[in-house]
Amino acid sequence: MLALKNIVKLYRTESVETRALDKINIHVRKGEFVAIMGQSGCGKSTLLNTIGMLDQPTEGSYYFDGEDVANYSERRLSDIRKSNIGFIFQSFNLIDELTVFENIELPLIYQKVAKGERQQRVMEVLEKVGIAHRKDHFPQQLSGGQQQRVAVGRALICRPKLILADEPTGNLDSKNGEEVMEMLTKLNQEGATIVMVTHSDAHATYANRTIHLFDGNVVTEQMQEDYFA
Amino acid sequence: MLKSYLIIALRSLLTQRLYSAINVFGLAIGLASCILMSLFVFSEMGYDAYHPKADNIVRVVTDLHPPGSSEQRFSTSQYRAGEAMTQEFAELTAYTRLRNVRTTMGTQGKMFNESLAYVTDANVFDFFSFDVVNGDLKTALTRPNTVVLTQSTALRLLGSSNVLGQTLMAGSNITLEVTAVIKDLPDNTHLAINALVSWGTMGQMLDREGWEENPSFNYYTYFETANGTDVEALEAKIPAYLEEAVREGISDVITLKLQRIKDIYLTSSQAFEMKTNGDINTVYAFSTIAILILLIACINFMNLSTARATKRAKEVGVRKVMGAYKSHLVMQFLGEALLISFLSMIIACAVVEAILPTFSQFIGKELTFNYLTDVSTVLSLVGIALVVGIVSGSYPAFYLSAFNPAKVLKGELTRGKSGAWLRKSLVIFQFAIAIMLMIATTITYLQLSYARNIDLGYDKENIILLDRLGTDAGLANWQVLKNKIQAHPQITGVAGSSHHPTELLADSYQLLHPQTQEIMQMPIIIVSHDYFDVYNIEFIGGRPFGPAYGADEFGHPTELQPQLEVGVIVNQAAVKSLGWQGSEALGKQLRMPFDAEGKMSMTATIVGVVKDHHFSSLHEQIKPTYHVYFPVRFSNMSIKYEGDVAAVSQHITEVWQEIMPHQPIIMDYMDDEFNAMYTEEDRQMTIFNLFSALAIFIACLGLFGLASFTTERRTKEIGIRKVIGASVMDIVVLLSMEFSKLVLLANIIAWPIAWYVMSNWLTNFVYRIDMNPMIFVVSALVAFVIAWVTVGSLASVAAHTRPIKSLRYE
Repeated sequence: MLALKNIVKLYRTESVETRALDKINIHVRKGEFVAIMGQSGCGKSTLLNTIGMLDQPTEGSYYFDGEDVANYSERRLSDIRKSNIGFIFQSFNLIDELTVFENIELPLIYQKVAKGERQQRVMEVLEKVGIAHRKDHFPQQLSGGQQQRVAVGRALICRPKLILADEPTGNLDSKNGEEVMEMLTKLNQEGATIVMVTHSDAHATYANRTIHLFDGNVVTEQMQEDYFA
Repeated sequence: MLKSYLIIALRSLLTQRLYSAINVFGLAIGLASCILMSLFVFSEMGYDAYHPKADNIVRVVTDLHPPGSSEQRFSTSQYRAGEAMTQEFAELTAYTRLRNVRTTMGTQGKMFNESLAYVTDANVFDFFSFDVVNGDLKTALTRPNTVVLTQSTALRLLGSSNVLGQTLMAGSNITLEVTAVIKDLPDNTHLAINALVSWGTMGQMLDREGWEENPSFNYYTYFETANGTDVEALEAKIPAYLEEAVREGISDVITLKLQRIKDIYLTSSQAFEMKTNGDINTVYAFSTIAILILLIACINFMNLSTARATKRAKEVGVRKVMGAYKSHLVMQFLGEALLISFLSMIIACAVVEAILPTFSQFIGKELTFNYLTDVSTVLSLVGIALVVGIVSGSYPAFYLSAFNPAKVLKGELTRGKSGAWLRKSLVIFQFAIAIMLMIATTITYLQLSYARNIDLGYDKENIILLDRLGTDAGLANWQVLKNKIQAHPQITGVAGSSHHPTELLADSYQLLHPQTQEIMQMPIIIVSHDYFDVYNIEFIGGRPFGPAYGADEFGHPTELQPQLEVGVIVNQAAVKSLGWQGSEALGKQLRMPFDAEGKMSMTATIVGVVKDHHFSSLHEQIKPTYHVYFPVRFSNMSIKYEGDVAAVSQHITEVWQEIMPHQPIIMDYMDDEFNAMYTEEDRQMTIFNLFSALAIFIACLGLFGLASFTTERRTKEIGIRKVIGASVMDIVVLLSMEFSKLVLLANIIAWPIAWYVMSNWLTNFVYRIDMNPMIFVVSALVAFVIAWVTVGSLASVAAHTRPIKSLRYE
């Protein structure tokens, strides 16, 4: 599904050069659920942004579905992104001025999906994430758990091949956290590939594989179960 | 997609109420001011465009500048100019003339003063567009003793506008047949006409033999030019023509200029214009201020939009992650800007609609705003809204859409710095404009009030004027009228003169300069014995005219008495222009040649020197003037009174009706006449002040918005500072200082520009104030105070909040 080869990401300021990712090599196969763990500042989010094509690597190759996308233009990346990748953020990142329905609908609008189909698909997703009864509410009117469901719904709406979740439970209490994790597991079982950054060991156990990062390097990879068995 | 943008735009307008209100209303006020100013400017610029031949008609005007005399500029020319110039220049294909004949008109026993009657050539209707109500304009003025009246004049003089074929009286013995009635002239023309009398009636109207030979400048003369005529090139040929046709050296004394009729209203201010013309400088000033107001409102918009960027950053990030291209976002934010500008435009139209009647009344000019029916107006409004939306929306659109999604979603805003720099520059620019306007309005106000309060050199209070006494009846009854009026105990003096103060000094006589023996022209005022007394004009030396000095009396030399000796009283300016100083001129003699051969002449002895006084407008330099005593030429009466004016005016009216029952009385008050000279100026000043204040207000509004945003953004910082020990004052000073620096920079930019512009403006005035640095200092202080009050109050509210609240907020 995706392969990162010798990926380096440097951040430069006038006086300091920070190596956020240092020759990282990662492969993720189709249908995998990968958790990325590590301390603050170890490069987890940079890695996720690189995988999500929100950030471009300084060096190295990034193969997505067999294509090296490392040097693609912003517009081409945007095209790949919008039809292949769904994002879930720690802080939900819903647009406050849009209703639940409209937030979930938004990616379909950018994909120029016809109105009738949009409505049908949004309703399906709303049912799936269990938030249909709140479809006309605005984000501020929802609890954190509910907001994250909307965010998950929005990530699913384009039927992405890959779902990237950046600490999806970080802002939630344990009960809501568990619910979101179960939702992700279900999605994975239905065939979605998921890469998730998390601080929680417990939530990492939902994944098939955990990658530990330290100072921009992969230190361990650990299989939760033998996926290939 | 459009719907989604619209929804977002509307909801974000509603959630950010303060910013939205500042944006929408600031822009609406800006647009409304701009529309009002534009309506005024376009109406000023559209004068006389409605005549079908407007592009091909020019007026010839005369500037007289005899060596050693002050210049006189007439909107008229001599009787023969039309014919002679049409013959000479192939570019001029036809001419028409109008001569103003102030007369009385009406029916027996019911006469009215008519100051807007003109004797004119029959072809005047080929030149100008008049809407005919009755009659045939082609033949209307081909016969003597015919007249064309405007509707309201017909109604006034004859009691009906359906008067075709009726006769009316002009003066005491001329009958005129009404051959056509035309609609009243519209506002947007430099012409002011009530009645047009046929050319063949001229002799009767003037009641003077040999009027054709009179060289005075009494004729408004218009030419039709051939297509493609270069008017400037044609004008350049006139001096050579005059040199050849009249005499060598004439072009040193006289200049004939051609004015396109479409330019007359805004650019011509010669003597004897048919009505008070506008001023191109007012149009420039108003256009500038309209643009500045709009610019300030646009800057508010840009500032607040970019300041709010942090709030919109997350949305930008999410949209990008969800697949939006940069172009989508640019379109979205531009769309929002356009939404706001159109919304503002709708409000602005409503505001203009509501205040237009008051504004029209105030500026004394009927303005119309056809924003629904007139296609060009609608297109202009849509155009303005589009331009404003795009100009003010483009920077925020590109700024916002360039955010890096990965960073903004993490809460990092890397572009904040450059945005802040631009915002600051815009605030500086805005404040610089506001400061310049403050300086400009202060200087304008000081200058105008200074000019108004100059010691006039004469007393304008408690004087009643009776006009039009130059008529047969007036001259015949002058003495009786005077005696009867003077009998009232409240009346302390009655004087006669050819002109009263505030009038133009256009009549002049030739005299030989005592030093150089060159011929010079000097304006003349005919006065009675008590004229200087009534106006309280001070004598530097010598004496006034009086019954004891019969030899002073002015007259015209005749063949029987070719040499005449008279006494004159001159002002200080005249003494100076004649090459003397102060009372040195007393007893000196001036020669006034009366014919070319020098057979007939007058010798004028200077019997008195009066202090300079501002006879005409304060915009003009005091002209060298001489006064003569010539009782048969008084055309008005100045009556000095004390106490209750009502009793005095009633007495005067009664005496008039008793002695001159057939001539309507024209009574004015001297101080009204004086104020009337400046009414237009006062009005324009008020409008200028009002709109400057608006500009400053909108600038403050923007500052308020920006300051409240800054304060909000720094809430956490304020909390932390307070926790570690900062006082409320520390916080207020901290935040105010940031804006003070901007205001200081704005001052540094504004001062030299304002200094330059206003020094230039002041040179338009003969009597002017000096540029006082205090004006600049005070304007700067006001700007600082505005900034401190605005920022300080917001900062103080933020600083008074409990620190834990502000910390929790983040």
